[in-house]
Amino acid sequence: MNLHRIRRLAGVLLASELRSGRSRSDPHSLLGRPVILAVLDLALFLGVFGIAYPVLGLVRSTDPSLLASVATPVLLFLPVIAVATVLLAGVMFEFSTTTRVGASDAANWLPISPTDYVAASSTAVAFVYSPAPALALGGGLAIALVTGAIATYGLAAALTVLGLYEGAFLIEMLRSATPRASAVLSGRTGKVALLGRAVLLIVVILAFQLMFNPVVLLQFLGAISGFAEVTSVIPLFWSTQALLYWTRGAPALAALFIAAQVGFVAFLLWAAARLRVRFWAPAPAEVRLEPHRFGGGHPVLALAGLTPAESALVAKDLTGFTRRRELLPLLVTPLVIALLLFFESGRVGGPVDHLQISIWTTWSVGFFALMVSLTSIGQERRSIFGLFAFPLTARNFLRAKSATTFLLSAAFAAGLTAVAQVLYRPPALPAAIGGVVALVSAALGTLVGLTVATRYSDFQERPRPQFVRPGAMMAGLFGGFGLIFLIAVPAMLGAYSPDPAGASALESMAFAGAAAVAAVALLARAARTGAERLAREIPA
Amino acid sequence: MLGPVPPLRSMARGTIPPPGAAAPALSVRHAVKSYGPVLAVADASLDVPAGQVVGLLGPNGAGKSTLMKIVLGIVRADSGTVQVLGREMAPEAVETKAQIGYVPESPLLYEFLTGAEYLDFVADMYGMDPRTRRERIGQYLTALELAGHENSMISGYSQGMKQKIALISALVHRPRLLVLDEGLNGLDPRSARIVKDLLRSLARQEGVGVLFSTHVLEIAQAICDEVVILHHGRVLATGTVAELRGRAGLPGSGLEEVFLSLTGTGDLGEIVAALAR
Repeated sequence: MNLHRIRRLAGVLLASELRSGRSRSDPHSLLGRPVILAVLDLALFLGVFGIAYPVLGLVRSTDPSLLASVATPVLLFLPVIAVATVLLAGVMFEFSTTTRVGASDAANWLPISPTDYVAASSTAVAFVYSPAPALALGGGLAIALVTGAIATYGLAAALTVLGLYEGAFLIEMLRSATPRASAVLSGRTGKVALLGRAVLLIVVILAFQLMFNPVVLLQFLGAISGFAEVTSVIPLFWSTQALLYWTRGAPALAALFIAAQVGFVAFLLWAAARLRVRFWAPAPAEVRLEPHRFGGGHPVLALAGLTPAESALVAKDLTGFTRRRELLPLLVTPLVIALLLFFESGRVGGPVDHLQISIWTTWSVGFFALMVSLTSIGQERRSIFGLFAFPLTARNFLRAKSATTFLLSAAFAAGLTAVAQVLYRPPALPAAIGGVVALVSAALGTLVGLTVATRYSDFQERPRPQFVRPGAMMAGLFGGFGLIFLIAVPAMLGAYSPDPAGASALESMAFAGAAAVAAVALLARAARTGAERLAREIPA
Repeated sequence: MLGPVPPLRSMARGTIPPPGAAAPALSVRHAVKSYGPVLAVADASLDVPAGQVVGLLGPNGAGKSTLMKIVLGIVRADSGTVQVLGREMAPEAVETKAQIGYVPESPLLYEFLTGAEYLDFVADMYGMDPRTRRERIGQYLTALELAGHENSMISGYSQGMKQKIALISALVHRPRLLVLDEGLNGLDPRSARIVKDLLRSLARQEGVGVLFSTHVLEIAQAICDEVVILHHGRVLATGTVAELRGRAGLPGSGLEEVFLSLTGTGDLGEIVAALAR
């Protein structure tokens, strides 16, 4: 391995992500340089530590047993948190590279070995998602200092860094495996084949997420076996095992698990490099379809009141979701999170919390709508210029994008509500209200996302492009979550109250309804002004 | 080869003046555009009369593509005016945009669609009726030797095939102003010849105005009635090739010498010699 090359390439890939959406920014600006992430990590680490340390000091003086019961599990799971963060965020954000960019990967022609490339790319991925572990490590240090577990903390911190790489290598493997899955049907004909390919890709990503997700593994395997047995045989938990034995005063066993964990991460590096060799330059799948019927129109969309041009845009975007590999994680990530929340809220054998399930369903629908709408404009890439050269108004464009997102989100809401209905059989009236709130959540997610996307989309073709600027993505997601909770929680509290027709319940639901109407009106206006601004001048 | 170009008929014209009316196809006056400290277009003015092919020449970074995007209303000029077919160009001027065909510098296509699906999508954007679009698209696909490939996804196309799809999408609605940014990029000689002949034919017979940027000076010399040379965002010279020769004091020279002389990059011998050492 050539460390100099790895460092240089990782720096370039990181800069590519950091400068996403800022084509004219000063390349010497701190905000466009990888060091900003180190600064952010340090700030988060110190910030959390600064808050947690005095608070934990107070807790120790008032309830020492509480601190002792929390401290060990937190330190034990720090490395697993790192893996989970990289996996979840990686799937969500690291697959926006188009096949074309992937195929002509800027680094492929350079004298870089596959192992060096994987190491560099993983370093970039690990670094990008390092703020989350930095937060956890800041809190962990406070716990360690208060409880005196400094050595355990040092070990946990080292294993957390290793965990970041573990997640990043898994992401690299998935990055290589998905073009293979998308090429499975190369040469076949028919739209069914394309749809099949999309389903296959969704299944690959979903299976990967669930197979390597610590929460799922612990929940499923924990049901059939004890914690120790489960974590001993799954490499993902070997760091936890090492820390556990360390805290129990068994350094030899701890060393054994550390060695095993390092070996497993090295194996992942090797496997990711082999996969990259195999799919070094993924050729675009050659798929032929049956003869196209010109001017067939979109009668269903026309019925919804869309003009032919708007319908054509919606149809084009919906087609994109069945054919564009980089869009599939947008559909899968909310599904994974919804499934996790379902499992958490309705454990087999335990009492079912209908209120909790309905709120999470609503939130998942909003999350889905936010993911789709936030990325719906940036996914036009450079074609946005061609699009606005057509006789298309900002209003046409916004209506089409809103319709695409809302249609997909409403379908997602229907599917999720049906699953919840079958699995948990909620009472009829609250379930019906929940269905309406889920649709409201889809509308809110759509409008929040488009308000942000019309202003902060990224249309650049880069080695690591994003559809929307990362900061705007975060702001849009968390702003949207807040708004959805503000409306969904009172609505569902009212619906599931002992007396849904009582004054208090009706007041809650009326508040939610009024807030929803006001929010939709304000957001529709904000999205419209954003679209008008975009049509006036597309960012170069 | 394409048959004779049928008369313009199916597009809704609104209040756009008819062909042959006095207004030029395109008129740009004192257009200025800066990107931060970079002055991309500096006080550029040009006309594209109806029925003429005007070549826009300039070195890399001269501002050609930015000027074309200003013309199309997808980049807003800091100052100056753009009139297309006698009407002010604005982002919301959809009626005017319906009269323009645009081929970008690199094809901006949806690669997950097939060629046929993409062209059908473009026809939807222009509100073309099904019969007309079917006929015209079929005609162009055959002429440009894409027939038989139209049901494959564009992601599998070569660069030249993508360029052909971009050209068809600019021509399919029979625009009255064509804006081609390096429009012949990647085309094989046969297709390039067809497109050149078609552009001339559209200009001569249908009164279409064509603004055509290119680096290939032989192409400009062959098809352009007039040439505009842009350098550092400014219009250095405008006129026929013969007029420019006279202005540069290089009678009997080719456009390349005239261009290099006018842009002040004529003395390349020393540079080449230094590079070769």
